Amino acid sequence: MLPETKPVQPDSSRWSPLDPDNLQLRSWDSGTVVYNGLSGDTHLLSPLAGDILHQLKTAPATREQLLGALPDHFREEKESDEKLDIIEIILHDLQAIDLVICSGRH
Amino acid sequence: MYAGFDTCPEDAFADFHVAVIRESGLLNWMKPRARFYFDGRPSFIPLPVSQSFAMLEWGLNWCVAAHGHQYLIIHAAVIEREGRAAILPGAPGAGKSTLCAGLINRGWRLLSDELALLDLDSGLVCGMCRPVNLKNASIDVIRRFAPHAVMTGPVPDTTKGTIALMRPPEESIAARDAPARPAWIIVPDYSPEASPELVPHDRALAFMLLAEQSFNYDIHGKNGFAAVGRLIDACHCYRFSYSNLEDAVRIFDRLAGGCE
Amino acid sequence: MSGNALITRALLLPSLVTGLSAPEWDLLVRQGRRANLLARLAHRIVEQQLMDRVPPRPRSHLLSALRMADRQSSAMRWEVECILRALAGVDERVILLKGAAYLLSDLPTAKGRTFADVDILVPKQRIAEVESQLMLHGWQGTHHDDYDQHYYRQWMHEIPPMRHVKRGTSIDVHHTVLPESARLKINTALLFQSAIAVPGHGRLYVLAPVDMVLHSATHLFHEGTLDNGLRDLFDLDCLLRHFGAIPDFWEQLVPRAAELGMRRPLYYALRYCSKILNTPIPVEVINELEPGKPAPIISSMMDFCYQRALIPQHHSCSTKGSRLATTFLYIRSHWLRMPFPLLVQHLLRKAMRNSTARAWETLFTPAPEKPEP
Repeated sequence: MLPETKPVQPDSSRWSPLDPDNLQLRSWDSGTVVYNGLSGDTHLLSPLAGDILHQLKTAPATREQLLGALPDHFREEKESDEKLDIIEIILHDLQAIDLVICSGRH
Repeated sequence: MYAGFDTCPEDAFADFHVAVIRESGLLNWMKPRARFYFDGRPSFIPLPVSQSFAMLEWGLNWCVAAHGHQYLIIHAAVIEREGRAAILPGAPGAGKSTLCAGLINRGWRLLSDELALLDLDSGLVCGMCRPVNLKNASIDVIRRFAPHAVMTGPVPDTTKGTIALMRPPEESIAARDAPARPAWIIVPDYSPEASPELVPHDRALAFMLLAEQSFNYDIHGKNGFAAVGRLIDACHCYRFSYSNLEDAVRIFDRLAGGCE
Repeated sequence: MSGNALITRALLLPSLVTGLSAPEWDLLVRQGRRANLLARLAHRIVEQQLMDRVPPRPRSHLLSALRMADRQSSAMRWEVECILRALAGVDERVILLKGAAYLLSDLPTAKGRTFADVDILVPKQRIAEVESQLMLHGWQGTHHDDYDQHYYRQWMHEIPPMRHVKRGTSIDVHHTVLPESARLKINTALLFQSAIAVPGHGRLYVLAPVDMVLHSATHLFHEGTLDNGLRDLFDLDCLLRHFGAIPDFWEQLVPRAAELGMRRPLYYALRYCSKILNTPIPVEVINELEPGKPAPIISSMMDFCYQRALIPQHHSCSTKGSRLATTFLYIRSHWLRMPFPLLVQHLLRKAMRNSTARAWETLFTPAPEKPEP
């Protein structure tokens, strides 16, 4: 799922919901359910994935910006690269179920 | 089974026109079969005549599930006590019919043993109070638990095994038009050795379970999503494991008494 | 007109529903449900702000049908989006036909209409490419029987319907609008040339107004089973009333029909629309179609059949001869679509295969035969 070569520069891909007006979210402690009004599908997301989607719904963001906005999900001692990788995997998963799109590099 | 119900006058509006008719032909003379008709059109394959009544019930369930989109329809039993309803969703075999049949013989009111009809605007559940479907071992369990309950004889060899239908208590039938406000979502989990246990259930998972067990969640789109969300918020969600109906009665009575 | 079914009269004059008795409502809902027109009726009632005056019990059935139709519309839009994505690599216009076309062009015909499959039209030389792209994106062929495969590919105007493995939705990919073997030869290339783009959707096209009407007419009057016949006639009526207001529409219609080879279906379409649904049609257009209309004996036979077939397929509507009429039309449609020796073979094959299918069916019980479309 991840690209073979890791970018040397900070990855500036911007992520945004496929259609923010057509996304409904409900969150509880254990997770978030999301309804995609375009496809008619409902998904259950982990708390982190749910928060990423909430964040993107307020404004498009790069994965670095997402990490900055969601520090509580990660333990301090983890490497920053590792955290970014986790976010990237989740973003690709969200893309595969038509919730977000990547608008390329700026 | 429908002794407590009125018949619909000829000149009234009927929701569905159904019939179960014996099939004609030589093959059917030797091995009599009957068929379900929805508004004059055969809608299921023919089954042995001994299963006619069960077929009528299955056919009616199908009519409601396929046409009643004014409701969000969830595959769940619904029972009520003092205006508060418990919704019991769950896969076949989880013991929802047995639990429902047991409790309605001990003071709970039956709304439905299979179809929870949620009104999206009011958030209330409606029921039809039709006969309760019992399968296999449940038939004897209920017979022992509630010896006075009116039941059909067992019908063996159906696709669901041996089945019998039980008439709901008179009080339930008399109140069949009254909807109820959902207060609990309880996922039953029957297993022969289980000690009775009522534990809080994860809300996000309960949401997904209700959506999955709904016949028409997808048809309601974002309104369905919002309605299930409101339902989850309005209810306490539990998972209930049990092996004995007497335990179940005790625990549900405590729940209704407001201790939990 | 006065002999029309209640559902037909109510759709033509929604205010009629304010005066219905309980048994009349009962009949109306049943006819509407059977003819797949209940949601359209509900939509007309909402449009005329009459829903409050419908008694609660029938109202709940109307609202149910409306919800189903609304959901089908959004599912259809998403399906089209998915198809476009799958075909992103094919450098060709994708022309939507029938229901999907009405919906994506926001035509009033789509309001309260039920939808099943998506039909698209692509040039014949692109079929293989389109089919393989669809397969790459999760669609699979549905007809695995060798006979079916051969039948579709040799004689039909489409490849066997494909079904999406995850969404369960179906697509029919056509390369022309009538079977290759049909008696009527249609100039498909002209349809492609005049197609018009759907705003905001890239390579998505629909047929030009006159062509859309002609295709709808050809489709209806070559159909074997007319279960949705009345629904399709209402589609035509709605298209004619809507496009009829466009300047030049009526002037173009008959010449275009001649050019495409669709005069005869147009003749029938206009005849039954005006006879059954009172669709306003300029007298000049009727006159233009006079030469070349069917001989009187054929015409009266067709009247006999279609006036019995273009009604809800509900027992409240069956009259003397309706079964004969529908059987005749079924055979006629095959006659129109197939050269004769092939016709016999096809009907036979179908009859034979149904008997084995029924044996299989008994294993799966109790399941409804088919969910209502």
